[in-house]
Amino acid sequence: MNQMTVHNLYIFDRNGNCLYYNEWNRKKQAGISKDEEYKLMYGMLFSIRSFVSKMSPLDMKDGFLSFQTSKYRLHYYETPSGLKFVMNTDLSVSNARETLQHIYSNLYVEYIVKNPVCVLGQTLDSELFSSRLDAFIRALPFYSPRAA
Amino acid sequence: MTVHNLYIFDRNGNCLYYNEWNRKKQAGISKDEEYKLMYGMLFSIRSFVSKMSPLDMKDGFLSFQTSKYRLHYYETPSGLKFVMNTDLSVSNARETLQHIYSNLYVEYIVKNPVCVLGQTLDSELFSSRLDAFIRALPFYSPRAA
Repeated sequence: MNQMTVHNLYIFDRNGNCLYYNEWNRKKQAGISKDEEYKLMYGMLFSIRSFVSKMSPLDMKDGFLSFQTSKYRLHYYETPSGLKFVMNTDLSVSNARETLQHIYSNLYVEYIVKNPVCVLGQTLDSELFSSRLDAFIRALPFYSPRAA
Repeated sequence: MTVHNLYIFDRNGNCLYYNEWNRKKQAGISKDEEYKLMYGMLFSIRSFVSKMSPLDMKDGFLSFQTSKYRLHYYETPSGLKFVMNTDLSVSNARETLQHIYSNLYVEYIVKNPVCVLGQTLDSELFSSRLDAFIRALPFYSPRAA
């Protein structure tokens, strides 16, 4: 009964704008509007990263990567250009870094950056990107839709 | 494998105890400011984690990790909060922290008529037993310089 799953995914640009959000298996909403939710997610991660770095007992290399609760794990990946990927999965997924890197290199760069119609900095408006991302997520070894 | 440091907070946010075994970098702020930052940030993280949860929560925030260390969080039913930083080889310190609570804190602090709960822990026995316990952990070994 322990099915692996991806709950949702946020993509933020370096200014904190939420470029993309989708959910595959979310059983509980945040109780605030989507705009507020994006701001909270970005702002909180900004604070967490700063805190984690300051309180580090060692010299940091990469910084904050993920946190977990008894029920889900949040994974964080930032590209050198400041694009931020945030994915919530269940606990069976210990490291989603490669997955998020793939989403960046093979989907975002391919279908958004290389698309002359897409204006960077605005909400991602590419059907191709959405459908390819959706197919990619559903094909992940750790994805399986929860039985109701 | 190593334990970097340990904080114990009471339910009001007072830091009752802090010790470090292997800390290579200080926070750059006074200890008082550090305790407040740690407590305040964890309070915010727990609230956020719960609000943004895609599922109904059971226990809430447990730990976070970076590429170099992991912070473990354990809260007792009475609101006592244990925060331990270890290296990445320690995936789950819950039992360790539970032991520190049940076998050290309860034994040497709660059951000690001299110790006033809510103030900084002032028991040499507690400190030395805790230190011995940490150093005896299977995942503790002092880093070579």
